[in-house]
Amino acid sequence: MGSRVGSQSTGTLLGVLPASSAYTAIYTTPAIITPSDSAMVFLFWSMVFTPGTACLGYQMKFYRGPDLNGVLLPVTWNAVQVAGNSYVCCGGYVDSPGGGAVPYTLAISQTAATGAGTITDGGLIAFIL
Amino acid sequence: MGFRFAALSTTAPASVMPANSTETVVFALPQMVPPTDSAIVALMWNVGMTPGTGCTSFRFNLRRGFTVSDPLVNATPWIATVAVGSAIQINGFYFDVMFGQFWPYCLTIQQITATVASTLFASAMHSFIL
Repeated sequence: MGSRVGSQSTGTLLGVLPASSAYTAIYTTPAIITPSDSAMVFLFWSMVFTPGTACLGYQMKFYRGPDLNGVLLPVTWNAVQVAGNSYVCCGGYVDSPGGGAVPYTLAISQTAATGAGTITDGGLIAFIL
Repeated sequence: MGFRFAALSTTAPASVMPANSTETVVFALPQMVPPTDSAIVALMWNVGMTPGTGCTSFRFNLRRGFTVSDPLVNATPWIATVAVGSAIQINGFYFDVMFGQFWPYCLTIQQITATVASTLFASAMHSFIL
């Protein structure tokens, strides 16, 4: 039964986090071919995060593009956390790009961090409705 | 209207939480039949738990199968630091890419250093094929 929708996914972490609060891309999907109407693209992400030294939590942003130079989606997630603890974090959002081959990038800022946090697992998927 | 995703879900715990840190299957889905190409199977779960005495963290695993000895879907265990007696809601989202076999999925939990069973509430697990 059922049907299929256009989708892309990645579980590949792009690199280690910095020892600062600089926004850093952590996951980028391959480009997804979107319809030229106002179709929604659902975005779901997850990560297992341990904040580094002095880190008070994280802020997370989505970009429509392969890096932080893409179009910023109008959402910022904030979470207050404790350095050294481990957190299972997830989020979802929607975009309506109106056509084109669109990759999506998830970026994190480690609030007030002076030591690098670690992400041990996670991923990002996009699918069209 | 619309269309259907192939999907499965459960809100029925598969086991009672033990009074120790033994890895325990908390949710098990029936077998899903994915397409023979590289379809994404989206896996979502949420767990409400009140950690029992001694518990310092929960360690979650998604497994391709019904038991704690089946292969992991996640790359490493998902660890959430917790405080004894403080109820916590933890959500997880992950995906698997399968190739047309009959696969069940299960979610397991270890209550790290627990000496008393944690209490599970308001929890569920879902899967659907994209």
